[in-house]
Amino acid sequence: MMKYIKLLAVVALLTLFIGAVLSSQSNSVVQAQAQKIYKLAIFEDLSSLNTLAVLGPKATVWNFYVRLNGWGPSLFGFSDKFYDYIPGIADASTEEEANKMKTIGADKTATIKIKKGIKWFDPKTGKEVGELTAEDVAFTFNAIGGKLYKGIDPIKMGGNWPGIINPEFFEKAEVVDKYTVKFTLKAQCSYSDWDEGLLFAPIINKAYWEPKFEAASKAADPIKALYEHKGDDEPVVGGWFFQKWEPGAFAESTANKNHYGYGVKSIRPYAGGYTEEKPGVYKYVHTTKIAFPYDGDPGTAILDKDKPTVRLELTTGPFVDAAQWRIYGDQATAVAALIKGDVHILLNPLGVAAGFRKQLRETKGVGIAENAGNGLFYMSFNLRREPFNVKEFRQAVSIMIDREFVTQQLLAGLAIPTYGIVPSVNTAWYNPNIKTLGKGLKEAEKAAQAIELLKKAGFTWEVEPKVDIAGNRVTPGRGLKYKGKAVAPFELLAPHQGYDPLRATFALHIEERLNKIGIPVKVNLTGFNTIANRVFDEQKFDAWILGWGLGGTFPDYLVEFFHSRNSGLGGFNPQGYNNPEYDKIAEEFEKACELSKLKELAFKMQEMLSDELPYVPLFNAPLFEAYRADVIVGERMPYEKVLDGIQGVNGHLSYIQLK
Amino acid sequence: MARIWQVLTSGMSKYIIVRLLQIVLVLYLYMTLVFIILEAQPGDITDIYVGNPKITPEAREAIIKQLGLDKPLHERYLNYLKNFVTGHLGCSFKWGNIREVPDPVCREQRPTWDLIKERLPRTVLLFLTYTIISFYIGFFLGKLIAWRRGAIIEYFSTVVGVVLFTVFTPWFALLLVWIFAVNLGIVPIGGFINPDNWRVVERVGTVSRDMGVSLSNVVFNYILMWLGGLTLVWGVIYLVSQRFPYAWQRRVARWGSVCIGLLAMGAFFGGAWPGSADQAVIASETRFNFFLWQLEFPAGTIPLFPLALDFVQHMILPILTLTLISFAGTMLLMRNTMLETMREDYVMAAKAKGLPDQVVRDKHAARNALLPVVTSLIFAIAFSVDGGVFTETIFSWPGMGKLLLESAIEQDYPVAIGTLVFTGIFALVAHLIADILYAFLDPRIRYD
Repeated sequence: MMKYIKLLAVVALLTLFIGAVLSSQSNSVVQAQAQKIYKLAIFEDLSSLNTLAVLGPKATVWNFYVRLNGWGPSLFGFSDKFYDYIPGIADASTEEEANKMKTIGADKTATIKIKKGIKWFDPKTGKEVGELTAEDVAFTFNAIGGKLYKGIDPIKMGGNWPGIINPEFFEKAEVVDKYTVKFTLKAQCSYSDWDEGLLFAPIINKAYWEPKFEAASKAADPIKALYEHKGDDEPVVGGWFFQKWEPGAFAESTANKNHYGYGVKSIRPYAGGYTEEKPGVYKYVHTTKIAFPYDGDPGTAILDKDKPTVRLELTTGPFVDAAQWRIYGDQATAVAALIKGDVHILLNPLGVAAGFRKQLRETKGVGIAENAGNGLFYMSFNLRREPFNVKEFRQAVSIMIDREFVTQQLLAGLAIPTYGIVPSVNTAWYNPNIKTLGKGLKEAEKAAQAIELLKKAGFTWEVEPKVDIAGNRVTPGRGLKYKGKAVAPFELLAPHQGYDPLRATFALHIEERLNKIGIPVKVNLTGFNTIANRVFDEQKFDAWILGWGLGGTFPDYLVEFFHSRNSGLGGFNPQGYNNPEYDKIAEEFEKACELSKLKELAFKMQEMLSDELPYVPLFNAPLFEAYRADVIVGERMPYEKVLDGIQGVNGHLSYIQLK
Repeated sequence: MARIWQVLTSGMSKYIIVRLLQIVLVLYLYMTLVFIILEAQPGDITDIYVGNPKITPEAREAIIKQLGLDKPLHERYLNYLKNFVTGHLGCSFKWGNIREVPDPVCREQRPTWDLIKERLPRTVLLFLTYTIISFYIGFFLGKLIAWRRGAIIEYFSTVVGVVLFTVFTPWFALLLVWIFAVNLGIVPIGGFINPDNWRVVERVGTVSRDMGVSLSNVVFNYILMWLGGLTLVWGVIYLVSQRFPYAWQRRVARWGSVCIGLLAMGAFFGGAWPGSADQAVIASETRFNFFLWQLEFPAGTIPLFPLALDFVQHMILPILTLTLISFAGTMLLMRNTMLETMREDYVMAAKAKGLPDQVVRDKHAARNALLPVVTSLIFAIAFSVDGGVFTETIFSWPGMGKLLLESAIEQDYPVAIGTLVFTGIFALVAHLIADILYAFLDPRIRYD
């Protein structure tokens, strides 16, 4: 009898399981039809909901993707994809008007008008909670800028804040009238501090934050008191209300179709220029034709065959009901989810790993967007020591590195060879005339050139390497000496294969090539933290390979990375590059007002760097992103020829349309 | 009951006290070692900002100060010990506060204990379930193949078991994901909940708007509480029922308590329990995509059981993977001890008495072969609190293993140390329990 009962139980369980399988499949369809939810796969959980902290000590891309969408409007910004410098909430109808408004006068002031009728919304109820006025703008700058509350300033707030509001540049912001703010600054111009600094700063809601700042300023530790607020109920003006977060599983925002920017049409004619219009509310006309073609090749960007005069026509949404970020622990699982259709896009600052690319290309319904990353992977030396402080030595090293061979043969096109500090895809600031030492040469030719340079600088060998150019052969040398003294073997720190196979491969190639001409280098593939600590915090190193994510397009890093004032412990110039001539140009760059002058100085700095080589640029990694092309429709896809790709615009929530 | 009393009074109390003192000493040494090892790593959590030129050295310095990383090592060590003694495992460097009312000590940072409370139920439910299933299968197969030594089933089970035991876990897990989740589509790809279901529900009551409290954890905790409570009750009933003179009485007591327990649990999760409104969740939609059914509820209060079933659906694939990979360990252990036991005189005597094979195998041989398996099970249960890095990563199951790995890599020392210390305490207590159980299971063992 018992046996029959057990058998019956097993049959019942099996039936339930099969029923579950069938029902779960049919239900997915029902669910999908109910609401349009844009589903994005991310790979780490949020670490904070407090937007001030997200731009401060909790500055992770995962927090940015979720929390900064539709949050804090700025006075000015860049147009989508083409990076025209255009007004955000600043009220200007023409480019000339906008330029006039943001020009700092001789009295070091600038008066900015803001658009009328921009509303704040409570994200929890979706109701309007007031209008965005000059009070909000002035409060933002004064409160965060350290002018209102004791113990609170951008430096103490940490993270990105000092870069957004530089206290050494910002003096105060005053309310002139409900829609006008007057800025007083400490200098007449500074592109990075003003144009792409203060004017790009997110405006926060005064009514919400004022009591919190006040209470914080009275606390023992004001910054801790400010960041301890959960902050998920902060009013927003944009298209998204942060609604739900199930830690470890997902986060969700719902669409706000009543926001000010909803329905704004922007048109970029093929011939150049830009128009932005909200019918019956405002219109802005930008006349400069491709002043900053960051996409690198304006002629081949999106061209609608039906409207040959229009390159890009956009309407701002949101066009979906919600955006849902699903957290995956592993890229393989997320790729499986994309293929199955559980998510619409994979959002990752590093894009999709190389191993999945072929499979994704071959999967029906999956679209691919390939874009250049705005980054730089480089090698550098401790320039305080010999022989690294010898320019010819660094040049010889640069010549010996066969970037094309490594990127194309060893890395199968996963990286782009780089010779300059500014990525070549950042066409507005990239100087195409920089030196490209050793480019296009065969191994033996490279060796011959490098040996010649080393000899010229006073290097000798115990056994000099021999070069057979016709046979493209190099017989290794040994016992390199500088001024008669043996060059001690030195250590090249590089991230290990597990952390970054691209950099590890380059390091091994460099070791092999340099040893051939007698440069005694030994690669130490180690953890990122070890390198960061030894290079930046302790400055105990010979040479290293690391990378920078360059963030914005404006190359102020040409100053940060190479000005001698930053060569102290923890500074951005751990290599100790100290060139008074370069410092002078860098300081001039910081003070320059005109774009043309800035560009001229940036080009000059790049030329110097390509000759001096305090950094030996190695490669840039393109970004490969995958999405469901059969579900995502509209004008946004494929989103290509854009620096940092789809993830660079946080998934482009407000433009995405779903079938 | 008399047996328990006998064990406890036979020098056992003294032994337990000595062991507890040893545990305190070992724990202190362990904590110090963990602190030193983690602190010996180069750099700190702010290294993640190296490579971002937008975060200036001054801004990085401000973060270092905020986190107290500028304080000397001995000061940080003493702080850490003080925190532990006062029942506080420190404050995470990485995770910010997400509660309406911040922790008074950690303020803008999230307490380590908060993170452990969030991750532990998820890990315990998954890994405890797998541990029990895997041990049961291993125990069952082990005794079977020992009894049928030389038969095809022995070779087959051993070969399959060992192959699976040695297989590379991430590869095997991904293989199963591709077969069952992607191609057959019968189980979810990963995660522990289906966001489409959970996006529309909210908890009733004071914590409804507090995202610091994970809604899924509320349900996880109820499941664990019920399963823990019922196991305890069933254990007591089992022990008490051993004194019943007739087999039918024992069966009625045991099966009756199982049925009543399950019914009570069903009633609670079904919302029919008194005061159920407190356990219910609010739904703004009425249609749910759940494991067994397409569920329709009136907008408003819904019971917890469909949410609990959502976990079950997501647990199938990880449990299947883990069980397949690990059952062989228990199976081979059981087989070996069973083979030794089968040579004992009392087994021969039982056979000679003419007892049926099944009775000799299950009641005479297997029970006596159980001791090493039970020890192994206790340790496995204790270590189930630290989860599994591979499993949790591949199945996107954010539990203790993933927390430990991430915090160690990202140098979130308070969380890494807190998690390791928490796991260490479990391991030490498990050793003590195993020692006590030895004496209970084997009357020959004495701790005088």
